[in-house]
Amino acid sequence: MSEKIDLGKIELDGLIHQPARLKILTLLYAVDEGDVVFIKRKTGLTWGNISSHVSKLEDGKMILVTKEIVNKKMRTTLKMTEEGRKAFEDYRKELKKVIEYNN
Amino acid sequence: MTEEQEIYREYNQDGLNELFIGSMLILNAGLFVEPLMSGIIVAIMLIFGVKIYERLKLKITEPRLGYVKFQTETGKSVFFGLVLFFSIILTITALVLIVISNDPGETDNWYKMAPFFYGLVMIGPSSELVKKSGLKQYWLIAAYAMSQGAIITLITLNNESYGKYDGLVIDLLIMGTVFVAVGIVFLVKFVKIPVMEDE
Repeated sequence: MSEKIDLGKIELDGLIHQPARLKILTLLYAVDEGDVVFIKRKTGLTWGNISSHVSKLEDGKMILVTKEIVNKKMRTTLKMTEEGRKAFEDYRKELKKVIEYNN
Repeated sequence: MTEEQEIYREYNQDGLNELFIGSMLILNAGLFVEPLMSGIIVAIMLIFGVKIYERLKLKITEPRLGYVKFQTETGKSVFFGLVLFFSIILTITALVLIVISNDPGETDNWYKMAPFFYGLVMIGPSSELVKKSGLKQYWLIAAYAMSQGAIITLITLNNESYGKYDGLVIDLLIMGTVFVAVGIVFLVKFVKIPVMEDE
């Protein structure tokens, strides 16, 4: 029998544990950096939604946001910080415990 | 398949990699046909080739899929991996030369082994593509390059009517043309994907 999981000790980071932000971070975790067009295409979120959640993630120091003009167009690039990567890995470990709880 | 592999696959469906590699192989053949032009050819390959590739990615791929930079492996392990890889395939090429050549000491025969060597080299990019995309089909590139390289080497090796670079030039031109053709097919299919609206 596997080790008993104490639900009370499971801590899911509230900043990550939101569907839209979780999708954004999942994508950014898989790459070095990506722009908001990539995020929009993969998540199906609206520009407004992306903007609001990106701001929250930036405030929480999970991601870095860079704006630059490329090919006469604004490119908004998102990159996960080291802190963000660590928090996301911790979140995944905690989430795994939740999933395994009833198994 | 991991998320990273899926994203990598999406970004390589534009055919630009195949077009770039194919063009480079054809230009590479030019180095052996006309050595006097080698300076210009290398400049085109290293400076303009990469610039054109980046420009096309920006104009064709990015508006459709968005911008992504993939994580890259760097450091000593990559360097030693490459040194080990090239040492192994050089050794295999030398051993095959000794076994199948009538005169392994003749330097022209070393050059005639180049298609075989190039074929083995393609194991490297194939394995990298399989690793990054999760698609085992990329092993077909190595299988094709090795088969073609081996056949051309067998035809030219002990045949004095072929010059020392002939086999290599034919190998590079055929492989380059195949890559360019595949690239064009992928690109034509890719540009049908609608451009994403701006933020």
